[in-house]
Amino acid sequence: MASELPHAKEPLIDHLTSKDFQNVYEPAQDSFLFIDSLQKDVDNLKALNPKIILEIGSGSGFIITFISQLLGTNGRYYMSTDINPHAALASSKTSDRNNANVDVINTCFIQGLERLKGSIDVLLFNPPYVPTPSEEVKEKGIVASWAGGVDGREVIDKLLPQIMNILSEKAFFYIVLVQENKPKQVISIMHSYGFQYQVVGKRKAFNELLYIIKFYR
Amino acid sequence: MKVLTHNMMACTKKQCMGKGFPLGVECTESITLEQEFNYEFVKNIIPKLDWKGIQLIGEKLAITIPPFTEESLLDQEFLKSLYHLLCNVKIITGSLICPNCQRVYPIEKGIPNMLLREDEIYQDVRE
Repeated sequence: MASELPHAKEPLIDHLTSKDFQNVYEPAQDSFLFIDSLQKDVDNLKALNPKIILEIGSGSGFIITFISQLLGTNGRYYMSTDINPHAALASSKTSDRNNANVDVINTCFIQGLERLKGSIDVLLFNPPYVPTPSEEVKEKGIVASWAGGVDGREVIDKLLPQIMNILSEKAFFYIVLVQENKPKQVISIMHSYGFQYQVVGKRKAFNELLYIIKFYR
Repeated sequence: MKVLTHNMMACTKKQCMGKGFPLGVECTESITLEQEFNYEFVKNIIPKLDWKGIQLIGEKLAITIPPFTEESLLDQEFLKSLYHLLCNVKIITGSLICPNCQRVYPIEKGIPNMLLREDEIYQDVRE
């Protein structure tokens, strides 16, 4: 479906080297599908006119920088968090490289940003979705960027109950899921919190069937 | 770390819930960005702001914002200087201090580190 559309204009990441990518997740098929899906949904995003946009686990900063370029910085406040300090720094550098004006915080989810609750108009999350043994979820560094525990759902399931408190009333929440994450279950959990959904992107990439799902009230 | 981000922050320790705000600020290096004034943005954010936090960080950065009143919403100069403080002033090096437990959160290369150490998390759960 997305292949019929032109690819979204990618942010520059030429300031990051292979050494950086030893500690930080390098943009891959999931990241590309994410930006293509945001591009595809641009009319809805513009109609929403979001003021505060946050990405949790921004890694290289590729996606938050992309959406900043897509919607523009005037009158919008872009933030991202990452638990990995190398990733937080990479996000900040990618933002600077592309004049994206993203404010980056080194934290887990939105810990320490308590007062943001109810104010996020767009939330982006490309979670660690790869099914792994549970122990790997606790690992630091680059492992944290992909190790998702049982069904690849352990980190995802920690965030889901917080979503309704984080988002503003009209907000959009975009998440990457793979088939192994049992997307139907995630949709049903979010439904119990009062959210509808739309599949805004779907792509087969190597051994992964990737989805970008948008949740909204 | 921009000033608006500071206004949304609190100490991450469980024991400080409801008391760890506004965080104290030390700033040794800051930069000023050039985002154009946006009335709609500032009007939208005002109801969410904590003015004690604004005063505290304003003093540290030597940017004075007059006290907020009903008339402030119609005062272009007030709104412009508030927008400038919130969105254009960024702390590059410094620290944040919890008013309740005195925990210091460092800010380096523009990024505040809000993560607790393992032993602090353990202690937090025990308490």
